[in-house]
Amino acid sequence: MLSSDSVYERLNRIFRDVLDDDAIVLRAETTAADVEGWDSMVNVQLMLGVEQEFGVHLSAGQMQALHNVGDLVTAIVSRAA
Amino acid sequence: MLAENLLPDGRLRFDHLGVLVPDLAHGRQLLSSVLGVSCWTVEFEDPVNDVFVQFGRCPGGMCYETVAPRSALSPVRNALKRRVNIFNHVAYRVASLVGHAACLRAAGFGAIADPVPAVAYDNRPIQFFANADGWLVELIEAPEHRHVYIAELPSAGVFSFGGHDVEQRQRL
Repeated sequence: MLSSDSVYERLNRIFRDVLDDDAIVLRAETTAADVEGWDSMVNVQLMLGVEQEFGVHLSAGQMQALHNVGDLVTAIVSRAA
Repeated sequence: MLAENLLPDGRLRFDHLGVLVPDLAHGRQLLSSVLGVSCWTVEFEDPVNDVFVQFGRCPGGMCYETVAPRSALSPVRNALKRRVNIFNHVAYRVASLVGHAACLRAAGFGAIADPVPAVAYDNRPIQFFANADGWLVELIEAPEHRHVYIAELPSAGVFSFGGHDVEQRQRL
């Protein structure tokens, strides 16, 4: 069972790598509007990173239903369980 | 297996290269003066995708789609603001979105969103895919679609573009 802390840590690495920004610190309430450059195309690159890191696939519809990083972490933990 | 899945007849049909512009008039000016685009379709307002688009063809046959934001929430606003991905996407017509989406996924692409209708293609479905390298590919489920160019415009200069009431000259 993945811990939320572990998921946040690994997600931070993915976000920093994709967005080339080492200052990113993800929180549950973080949304695309809070992160410079996080657009729909970057969103796919983030999801591809999530798939590679956690072995979890999210469809386009599932991605669009996520409201913030907290939702993403919940989705990863539940699917990876 | 991958090549077999690309298209029933073994090839993708190139449709256009999508470029981002702040507005369509600016796009016509730029593409005509720099790239020699000389004939244009009408302008399309696409409320579903929240953009304005127009297609232009240069004498060499290359087709460009200029894409301009329709609102402050348009998906192309961010890229325009940051001046990234201006040469934005390459688009292909396919017979089946489902089949080709599976092919792209097998090649490491992910769908940006579910398929949506596109006004410029008689409301046929389109879908965008991206990969980790930053490629952006559009699939259009309209294999036989042809753009209707309504006017030959000079390769540079000021445009007087009437829109839908201009005589249709060619269907290419």
